[in-house]
Amino acid sequence: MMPMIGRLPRTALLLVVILAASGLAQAGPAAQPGTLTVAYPQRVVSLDPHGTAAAERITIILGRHLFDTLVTWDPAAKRFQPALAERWRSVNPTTWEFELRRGVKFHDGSDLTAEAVRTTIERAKTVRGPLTPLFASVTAEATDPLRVVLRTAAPLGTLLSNLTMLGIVPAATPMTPAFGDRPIGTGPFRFVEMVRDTRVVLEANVNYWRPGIPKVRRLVFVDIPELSGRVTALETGEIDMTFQLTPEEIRRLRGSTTIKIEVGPTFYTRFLWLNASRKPLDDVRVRRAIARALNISAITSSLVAGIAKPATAPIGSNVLCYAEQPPYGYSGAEARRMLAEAGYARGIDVEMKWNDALPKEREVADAIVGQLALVGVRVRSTLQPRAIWVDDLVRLNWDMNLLGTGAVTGDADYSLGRLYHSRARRTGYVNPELDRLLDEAASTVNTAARCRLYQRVQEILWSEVPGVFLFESLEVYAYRTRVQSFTVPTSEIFSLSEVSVAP
Amino acid sequence: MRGDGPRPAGQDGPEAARSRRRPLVATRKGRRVLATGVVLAAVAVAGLAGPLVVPYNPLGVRLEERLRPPGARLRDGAIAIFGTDQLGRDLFGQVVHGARVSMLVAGSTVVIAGCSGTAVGLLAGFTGGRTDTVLVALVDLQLAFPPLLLAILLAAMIGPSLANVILTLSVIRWAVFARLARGSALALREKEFVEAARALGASQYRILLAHLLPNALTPLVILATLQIALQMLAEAALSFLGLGIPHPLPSWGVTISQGRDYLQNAWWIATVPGAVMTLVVLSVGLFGDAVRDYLDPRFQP
Repeated sequence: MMPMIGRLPRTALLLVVILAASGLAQAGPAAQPGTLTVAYPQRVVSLDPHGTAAAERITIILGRHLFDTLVTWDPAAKRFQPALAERWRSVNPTTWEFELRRGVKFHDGSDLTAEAVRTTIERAKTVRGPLTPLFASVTAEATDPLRVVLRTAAPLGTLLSNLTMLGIVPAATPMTPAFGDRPIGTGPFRFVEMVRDTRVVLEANVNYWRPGIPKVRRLVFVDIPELSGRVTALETGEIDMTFQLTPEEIRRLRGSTTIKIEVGPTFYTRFLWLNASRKPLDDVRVRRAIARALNISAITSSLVAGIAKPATAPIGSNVLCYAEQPPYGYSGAEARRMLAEAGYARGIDVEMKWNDALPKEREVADAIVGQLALVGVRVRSTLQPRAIWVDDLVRLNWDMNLLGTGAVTGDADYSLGRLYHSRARRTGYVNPELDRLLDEAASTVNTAARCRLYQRVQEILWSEVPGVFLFESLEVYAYRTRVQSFTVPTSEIFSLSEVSVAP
Repeated sequence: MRGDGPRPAGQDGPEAARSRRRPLVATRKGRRVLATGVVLAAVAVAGLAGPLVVPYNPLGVRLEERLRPPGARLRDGAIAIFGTDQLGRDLFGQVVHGARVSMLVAGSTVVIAGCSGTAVGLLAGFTGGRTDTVLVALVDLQLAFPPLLLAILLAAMIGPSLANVILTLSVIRWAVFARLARGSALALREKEFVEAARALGASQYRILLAHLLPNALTPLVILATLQIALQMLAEAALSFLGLGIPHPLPSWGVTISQGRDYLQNAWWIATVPGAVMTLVVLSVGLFGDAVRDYLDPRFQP
């Protein structure tokens, strides 16, 4: 064979290399058939679904592809839908029984069993992370191979919501975060590799229990932190999809014929907390005056256009038990009058602390300071490094604080119960009635009854103004037209299982 | 400080004496000093008097006027010469008011760092011995740190405020002056006029202040002009990183840093203050060069 490789093939080879190189130089790495490449802005700290990064958005998104949960929440139908659990029932207020789907296999070939669910619950409690408190009072018992009973120490209204966060892992998965380096689940994609700060590669799980899913062979998440880098990569076709764009990029890309832009809701709300334990913000009239002095829609139509809309409740409109509230009613004159009524005709001096982690937070902070100055609220705006800001925040060492939070589980309790119960000591606002309502809601198992309680909670928070609820964040997805049947998700957690790519 | 100490013979050539007696406009070197000086003077006047003439309210957010290009006519009829920024504030006013902050920081830090550095350097060079060893070690220690990295570390520790920026930027520059002053002092202390002063019974302090300092001053002044440019950049860099001038004081670095996000569709926010800063830094550098050429009789361009 050897002598056969003469001069000609070698020249041809050279030609191919040259052609390939010139092709690369012109168009960037060409899109591969069956491969969907997505660029994300955050770092992937870990893929462990129960570890310290379990509430990080990118970890949850990747988890959506690697793992399944017992149940999922369907915001359109406003009910929980079966996933790995085919049926469930509440035996009594502290006991739930789940019947698992038959024939589901993990990526390593083992079967989905009740023991796997028990291991998962134990793991969420043992591996310290944001999910630990959600499952602290839950114990699991495998009553037969496909039947698991969950018991809670007290009635737990949020159990189903919490379960939508809990990726099920195989039985006997070690209780160490190292699992995050080679995660195994039942999800539509299996793990291939993770190169830290570079990429995460997943490939289709051909034995997935839902027929016809997934539709792409390979899913590559590449790490491109800089927005301009992500957008350029999208324009050259190096990646197929990205998210988290600025209003300016959205406006620019809307003119493109090869790129589609879609906007979807998130569980995230942004607000300006007012410390009701400090003068002069202890006076509800002052807090209401601040709420009325802010022209929120002017900000959402300019600075954060397309990435936020005015909030209509302390929680996002897609969160379970959301109850719409009337707008604060922007009026500078009214705000001045309310301040004067409270005895501050000459205005007040307050400090606003913030951290620039949220998109356009600097501009929003500047706009708030400018708008409040018009009614005599003189704000000292203090941008703090993240660590110091967090420290001050939890020690209540602030007058006003500009921040946001996501209802990670999609349940009202996650934001309301966690932040506004006086026991949490987060806002400086104390109201025994609110505490009672939150306690009652947390231990109510019936969803409709819970939502009635949370509705009252939202009314109190809206009128008592422990914070001015500013925006509901929106998420922007930009993808090339070769990406097909992408449906805008109901929260910032998207799934690409049903997306296909044109060759 | 009197400048009447005997000059070292080498620096006092006939040419130098001639050029120094003639008015600045009469020589080419002198004209260069003047030309670059005029630009600086203009910036200084703009920075000092401009804020009185050009109104600018950092809290004057006008969201309906945001991202207007240079020369745009606003709704109230005013023309935004440099355009408006992402919050609808006038960029021209921002640049003029930012000049004051930039000059204040650059000027005061160079004075503070220059004075303290010179004092340390002269003392070390003149006294020699153990004092010299200790002070030189200190200087080397300081110079071993990358200055901007040290500034970021310090600024992050003590937090952003105008006074802290001045303190931080002074700390990172004194050693440069100290090293130069020590070199001069080492050379000068062996000169005949110092010997003479000593022989006449002058005290250490008198020799330091009346004889060494005036003769070591020229290179230090030149260094100072160059450091001013560096300090302006350092302030901008710190502000760019969010560790410099705090809200709502306008600063070129802050404006550039915030305008970076808008480069694609509002290039002027970052570009205009950037260009102004380039111009100022360049003219400070050229001015420093011109002054050196003018004061150095042996330099022939």
